[in-house]
Amino acid sequence: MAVAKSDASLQDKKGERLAWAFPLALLLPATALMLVLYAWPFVSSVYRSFLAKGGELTLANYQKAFELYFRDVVFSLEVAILSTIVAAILSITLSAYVRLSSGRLVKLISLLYRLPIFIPFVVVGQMMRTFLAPHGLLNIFLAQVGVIDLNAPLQLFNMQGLVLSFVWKQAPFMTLIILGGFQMIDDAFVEAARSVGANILQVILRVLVPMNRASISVAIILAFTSTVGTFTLPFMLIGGKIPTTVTVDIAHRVTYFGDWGVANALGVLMYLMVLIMAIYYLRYSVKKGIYEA
Amino acid sequence: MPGLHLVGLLKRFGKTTAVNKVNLEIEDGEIMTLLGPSGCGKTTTLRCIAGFLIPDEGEIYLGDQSMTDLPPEKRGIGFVFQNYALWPHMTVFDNLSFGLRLRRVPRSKIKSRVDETLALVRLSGFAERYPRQLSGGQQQRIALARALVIQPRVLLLDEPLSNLDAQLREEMRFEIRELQKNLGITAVYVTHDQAEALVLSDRIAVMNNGIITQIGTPEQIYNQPNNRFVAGFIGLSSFVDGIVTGLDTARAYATVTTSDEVAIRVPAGSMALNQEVTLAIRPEHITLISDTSAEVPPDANLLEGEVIRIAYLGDVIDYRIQVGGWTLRVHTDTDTHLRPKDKVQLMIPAERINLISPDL
Ligand SMILES: Nc1ncnc2c1ncn2[C@@H]1O[C@H](COP(=O)(O)OP(=O)(O)OP(=O)(O)O)[C@@H](O)[C@H]1O
Ligand SMILES: [Mg+2]
Repeated sequence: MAVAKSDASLQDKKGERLAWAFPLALLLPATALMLVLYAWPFVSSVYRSFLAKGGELTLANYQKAFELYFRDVVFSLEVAILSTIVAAILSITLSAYVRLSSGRLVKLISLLYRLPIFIPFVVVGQMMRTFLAPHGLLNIFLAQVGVIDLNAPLQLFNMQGLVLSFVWKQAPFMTLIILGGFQMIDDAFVEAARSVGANILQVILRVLVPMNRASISVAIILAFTSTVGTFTLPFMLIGGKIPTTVTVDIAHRVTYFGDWGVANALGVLMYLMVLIMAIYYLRYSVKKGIYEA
Repeated sequence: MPGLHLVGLLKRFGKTTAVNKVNLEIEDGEIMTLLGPSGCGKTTTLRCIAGFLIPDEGEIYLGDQSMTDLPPEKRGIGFVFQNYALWPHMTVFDNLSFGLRLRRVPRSKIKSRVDETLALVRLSGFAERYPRQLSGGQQQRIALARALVIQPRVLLLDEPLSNLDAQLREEMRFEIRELQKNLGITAVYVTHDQAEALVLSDRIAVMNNGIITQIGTPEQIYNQPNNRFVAGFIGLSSFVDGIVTGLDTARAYATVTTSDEVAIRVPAGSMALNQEVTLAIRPEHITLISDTSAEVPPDANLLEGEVIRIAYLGDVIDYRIQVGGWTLRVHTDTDTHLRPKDKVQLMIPAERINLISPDL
């Protein structure tokens, strides 16, 4: 009896060990794929940013990147931060409007706002080149309204124009995510606030937004990273003018100089910009929980 | 505190008329219950009062003031939601103080008002908790406290107890009524639970299909239902159709004869000869007589019947008894032991029979 019992428990132990290993085994293919497809190219690009042309380890690439492009790093950050903030305010306002109103106009708006999401950056760039040009649609319109003189049109192939274009492209995408979050909130939370005296603005700021911190941060981070990493739009609107974005600089370094070292160093800098956002997100949204103050 | 007055309130959703020309006068300090089956328009009525919905027709008055065009935040109404709707990102203190801060109540006063209100719902010391750290019953009390802390002119409650277990629900009925009476606040309470309505209301408005079919005190609603819906929805009733064949004005009784020629004596009320009527009889108002020598009051009806179905309900036995071409339900003590096909005599006091117009 006793022997049989210990046998059984031995087998149980074996079973436990297997049970522990089994999920890991299942994870292996996915993990391997991640390593090969994501980690390896990333590590290799970081590594190559420390290589001189001859192959020896050096910080020269970073030194050069800073000397030549520090202004552009700042410019990229400014553009990304500014357009993300403007797009966030716009998309929160639009989401709140769609969430809190009803009627035919809202239905139309909630269909139309999605359109820019499906337009590629190249096409947006093309559109904005004609829309924002010195004698483009925007300036002609503003002149007709009497805001500006067409002999001295707004120059928009610069930061303002770039921010405007990014907002045009990113705000709908952010709205899609944020509105999704707003729609999940039961009417009762909104009505409870109104019954104790909150007006619409207070409902948005004190109930809808704080209850949706998760979806809003996701929207902000996705929009920010995509803005930082976009090449086409700044290339088409600003090109090689100074200042321009880091993405344009990277392309420039590779195309005209075959200089992968500096290009990789700039890439790492871009990665760091995004990393700051990622850390912020992890610190404030995930760790502390969505609902805590 | 002013009374609440609904005049011809009508609300449609597409083709359905959720609330159909409702008139209701709720007195100062009264707790009125809207009672009715699911989908009858109770919540819609309440949300119109709160201003969450704009009625298609009709007016809402609080005292002399028309509230019909006021936005919800200007109405001074406390609302308790079925799912409580406590803001999950705020502590209990913040949930309660939110409305006070919006009203620019001074900081020191906010603290004392919140403390007082928490004491009122017996949850002092819970101020720093988040809603998810509270039990369902505690969340319910906080929801009540949040509605009360702003000192509303009217308190509206939409099935506030339906998410609680049976025991707590029963306790809270008394607690809500006591609180409402102590504060002297005008209140409208929505429920589909008749026991809840009977316990905590001053008056009950029974709703069906967007219409109020009867308004009265719990006793009136239970003992004198004036239509078939109320008689069937609140408590149990058996219905018998017949025609008035005799009027005994002196003693205020009438004789109603059914299609199978059974004569039943009922209170005359305002009936006319040859009028078609429906009788509603409560199961607990019928006595089964197996001993023929038992004393029968002179005004009681004695009917012959046969047991067709028996259900043991724990506290009572529910018999279905065939009398002529119709059946009556009878509730008796659990010490009666009849079997199907047994012949029985039924005694029904005339004044216990309710008359209902058949068209309602
Ligand atoms: N927002 C809405 N849109 C469309 N129809 C609605 C809406 N709200 C309610 N209704 C309809 O109006 C009618 C009354 O609904 P209401 O919520 O007032 O019922 P209720 O009496 O509160 O029922 P319950 O006891 O189930 O809560 C129902 O037929 C319902 O389907
Ligand atoms: Mg309801």
